[in-house]
Amino acid sequence: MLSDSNSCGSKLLLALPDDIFAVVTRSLRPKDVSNLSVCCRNLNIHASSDKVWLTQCELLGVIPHKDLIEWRKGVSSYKALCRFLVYVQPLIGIWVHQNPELGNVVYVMPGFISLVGCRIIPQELGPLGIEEGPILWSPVFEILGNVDGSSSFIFHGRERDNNYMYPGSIKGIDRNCNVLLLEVEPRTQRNGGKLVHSKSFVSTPNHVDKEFSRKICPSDRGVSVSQRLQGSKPSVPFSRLSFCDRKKLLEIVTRQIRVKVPQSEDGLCFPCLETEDFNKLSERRVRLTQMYDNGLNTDPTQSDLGEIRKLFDNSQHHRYVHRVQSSKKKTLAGYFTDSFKHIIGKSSSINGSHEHSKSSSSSETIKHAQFQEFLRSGDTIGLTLHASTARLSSYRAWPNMHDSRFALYKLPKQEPLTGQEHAGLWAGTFGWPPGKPSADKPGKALFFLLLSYEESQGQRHLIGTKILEGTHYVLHPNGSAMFIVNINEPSDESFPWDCDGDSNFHDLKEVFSGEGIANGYGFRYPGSKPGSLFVFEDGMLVFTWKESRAALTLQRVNLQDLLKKGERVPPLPPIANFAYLTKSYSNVYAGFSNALNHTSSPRGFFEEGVQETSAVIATRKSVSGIRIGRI
Amino acid sequence: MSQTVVLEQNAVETQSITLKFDGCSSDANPSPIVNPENQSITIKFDDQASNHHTIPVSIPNVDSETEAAVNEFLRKHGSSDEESVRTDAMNDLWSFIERQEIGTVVVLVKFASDVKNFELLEIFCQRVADVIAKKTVEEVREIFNIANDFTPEEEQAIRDEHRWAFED
Repeated sequence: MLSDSNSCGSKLLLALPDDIFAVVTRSLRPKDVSNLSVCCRNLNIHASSDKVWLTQCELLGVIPHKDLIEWRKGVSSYKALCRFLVYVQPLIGIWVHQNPELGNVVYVMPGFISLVGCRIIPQELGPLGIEEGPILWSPVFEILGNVDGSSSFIFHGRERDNNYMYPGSIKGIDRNCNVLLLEVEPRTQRNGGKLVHSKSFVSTPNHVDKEFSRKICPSDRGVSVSQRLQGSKPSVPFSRLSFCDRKKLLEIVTRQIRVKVPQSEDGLCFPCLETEDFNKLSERRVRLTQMYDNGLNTDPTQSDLGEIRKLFDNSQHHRYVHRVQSSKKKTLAGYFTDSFKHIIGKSSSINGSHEHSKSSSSSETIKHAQFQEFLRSGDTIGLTLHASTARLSSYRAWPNMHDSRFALYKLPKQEPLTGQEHAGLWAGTFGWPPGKPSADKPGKALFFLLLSYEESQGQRHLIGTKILEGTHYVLHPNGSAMFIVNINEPSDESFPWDCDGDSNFHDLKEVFSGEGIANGYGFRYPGSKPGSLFVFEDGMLVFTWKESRAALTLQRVNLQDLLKKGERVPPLPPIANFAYLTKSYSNVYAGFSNALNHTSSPRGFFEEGVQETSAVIATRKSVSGIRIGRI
Repeated sequence: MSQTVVLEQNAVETQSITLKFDGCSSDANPSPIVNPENQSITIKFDDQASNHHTIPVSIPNVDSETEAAVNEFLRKHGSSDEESVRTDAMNDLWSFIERQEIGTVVVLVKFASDVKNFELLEIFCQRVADVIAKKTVEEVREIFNIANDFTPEEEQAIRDEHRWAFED
């Protein structure tokens, strides 16, 4: 379509001043701006300008303008910053897990040239009320933005009184992700030298150890970490491995890659939460990046090597067994030692129950085969974060979750818009009048609820889903609807109390009737009883149970603001610090009383040396619960 | 509609001033308002600056029909404070521009920028963006008659560099 007008137009397009070009690209997405870069050299220069990409960063709406200016100082360009923000944006929000039943809430928010995942732990109302807290939180993970805009994953945990960081990679972030998985990923080493194949593990021990060193922790420091280690696509994904294999892999890898956070750095401010001093944050970022790189360069200890060797050796043996089993069935009994009996079934009963042992051994063999296949996909393994999209059903705004995945599930964002004014995150306590705890009054359990709207049978309902409960021992399952009210029909119920304890009158705006949670058929199946939701002019919500006159008083909260004034407590050991899969009804996050020097709480249920099984319910005699007392 | 440009003094010793843009061009005529607290100077383009275009303007490098359509917009838009009249004027101009070749629209962008008419600038820039949006590289090259002066390797390198933006 050649025409004089177009020919003139293209020259003029290239001749537009930067700021006018930025006005044009303001209506474009990053993809379209990038397309312009590919068109020709001149357009590449125009489309790469900081003005254009600053506008793109602003349009994303992840962080305010003033923060963009600060973050820019740590990256090579606004384009690099945009690359980072586009990549990590889908992670921002509230992530939860069913267990422990008191609540596992991880809020992912912008840090400093990073994204941070912070857990709000079950707690009582702070001495200064909800707004000033301080709210207790612990670090879970960080995603650092590198100079070129790429991302690095750092997982946090605590082992034997030391804080550690666990450097890893990011497998991928789906745009519409709703499940966040902690996984182990096989990797191929790209160091230009010989790739070490797992077959070499049958050679001499010294040689094997050396090969292990090179395998697990590449020593090629000249190449950047992300270039050196490349995730490989295993034919068997991590998620298909058995729970035990997945747990084992995570334990081995975290033990191997952990980097101790030096004592002096324990005061390292978690970005955006404990300081806004740009210099301090920059310094921390530099140190963290160094620790991250060192972590991936450290040679493993001998015991780590031994453990990993056992892992590979077992996979070799099982592969051998599998091969022999398939080719020499008649002479099985003659060749296997006791240690393989569990695979083929009892040797004495081979003839008689061959079919039975074949089926049970075949499922085990399949599992082992999958495990081998997984390990064979690369020549080293590492920790990785994977944000994927799963088809999840939900009940009353709470996703139905797997209980054996090391996963967190994203709660859909609830925005207060016209027609759904009350949607969003609220926090509150039981009791009327609402008030700050004092020295003579015991602390009130802090509840966090996510309010959302649902349409069913022609009626519109407002649901208050409990996501965090600050009692000592949980009352109702995590994710229960504390109340459901009918928004279509206002009620003329009157508020049971005239005023609060301070003689403050609250102007009532509207009332809705519905039901509040009550005891039902055991813990798992709560019932409901009639109640009403009172909406006040000052924005406060109070749900009262008609019969018992219990009252749950709520106010809207902004987690980011709360966390900025919060108080950090130590995290759990790794893996549990991501997803705590041992069924628990009490506060597993508050076991570290050394960080709370004003508490006299007994130690938590997560103690060193306690055997974790998936069926354990933490009901020890010492359950008076974990009290996080405050002065 | 008034536009604002904020000047901030960024070095007390050198007395240098940095110009920050709010999607506007850089020249400023009206009197500045100084904020003593942060040393910023606010310059407002008042409505007079854009209203002086109620007299017919001459637009270089476009045909008479286009010039007439732009002038019609300026007349209608500047003649009334009523929201509905101004919206109608914008819609009419928008319909007209959508039927024009993109080369003409880019000429108009340059014109609007030169005369500092921000309503026109918004409309014309939006049209150019609409033409670029969701198109492939080859389509954009064809529409704007852009010659590809990259080698295949260079082009691939640029595509690789922007891979993050292409992943939906």
